Amino acid sequence: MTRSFASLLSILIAGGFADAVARGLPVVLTVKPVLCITDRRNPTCEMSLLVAWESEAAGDFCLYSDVAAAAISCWARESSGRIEEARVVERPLTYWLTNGEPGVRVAEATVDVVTTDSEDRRRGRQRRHAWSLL
Amino acid sequence: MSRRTIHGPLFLLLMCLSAAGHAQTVPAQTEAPRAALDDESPWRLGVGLGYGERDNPLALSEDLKMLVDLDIAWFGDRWFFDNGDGGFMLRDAEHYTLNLIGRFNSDRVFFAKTDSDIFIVNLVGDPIEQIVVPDRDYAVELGLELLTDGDWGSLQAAVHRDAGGTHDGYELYLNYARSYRWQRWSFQPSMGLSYKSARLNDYYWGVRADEASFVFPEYRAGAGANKHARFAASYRLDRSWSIFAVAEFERLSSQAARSPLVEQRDLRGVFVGFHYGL
Repeated sequence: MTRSFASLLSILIAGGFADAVARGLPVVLTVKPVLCITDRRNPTCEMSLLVAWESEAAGDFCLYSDVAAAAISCWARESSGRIEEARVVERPLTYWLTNGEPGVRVAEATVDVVTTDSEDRRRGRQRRHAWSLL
Repeated sequence: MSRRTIHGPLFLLLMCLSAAGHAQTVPAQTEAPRAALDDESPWRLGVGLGYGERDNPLALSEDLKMLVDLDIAWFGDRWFFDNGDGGFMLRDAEHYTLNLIGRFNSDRVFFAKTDSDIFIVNLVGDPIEQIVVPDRDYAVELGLELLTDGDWGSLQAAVHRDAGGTHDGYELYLNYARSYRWQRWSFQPSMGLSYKSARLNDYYWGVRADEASFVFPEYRAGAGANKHARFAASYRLDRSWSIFAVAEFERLSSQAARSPLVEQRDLRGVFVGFHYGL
């Protein structure tokens, strides 16, 4: 009896949580590191990226990025997951998570790319004003 | 200032540019400005928030304190504005960029922080003479600026001449900088010198006969070179925010340092804070 009740409860809870995900309860997707800094000498970043997600409810999730159309990885009835991948990054790279409905992103995370050098030399001129130290 | 005096440095700079230009291939000379080819925003807007100080070399004066340091710049295909400097890019080649610059000489800033509440008193304590640091004006200057860079670092050479009849002098400026980056850290040491003609130096650091006093006797400043060094370090927090620290050192030329108006030959400047940039 106790076991049946527990099973029923878990089904109800899982169903409730699945419903909760569908209703948009938090799913958190993180990527580390989040920043790629480039310059003239190093125009790309060779990064070892850790992408992790966590949901308040178990569900079916797939992880995508804007590098390829195919899913990087999928999880069935999981409430968390993580992958590690090595990438050469030269422009902002976005990862997103879907919960089974194609095209519906439940969470998103981006590796930002910041370039410290400009092709325009004028932007690197040193200003000589007494009122500024920047 | 005779025209011959200013034509000397301008001529030298133009000769260097001419030689560099001849080393270029024809397509490099006729290429479109590179600023137009990339998708960078023409604006560079930033604000430094923190605490900074710059020594004021003048006697009876206060140091310059800074809490906010604004960075406002706009770069069009040819025209640009960079924190008070207006410019027109004359040429942008593979190895160098040549700009025409209009600017204010900022030495005037020091004269805005002087204290004139000091009097010479007689034996019974009555004031007989007020000690006033002479006032000076901002000078509008026009000049040519050469920017060049490579794996060896970057070089900025410029000559500016008074265009508004304020000091009738000129300044030659040379600065070498090299950037280093390690992960989110950036470091940029730089150094250079600034040669100021006698007329420029005398306008700011000389004491005219009608300004002379017991404390500030008459003085004529000659030409001389100020030397400077700078070290900037920053740690990037995200796309917009950084933590940064800048330290500067400038040694005035002996001609400026000997002026009765000058109390401090070695000038230090520091700023530590956060920077937000768009």
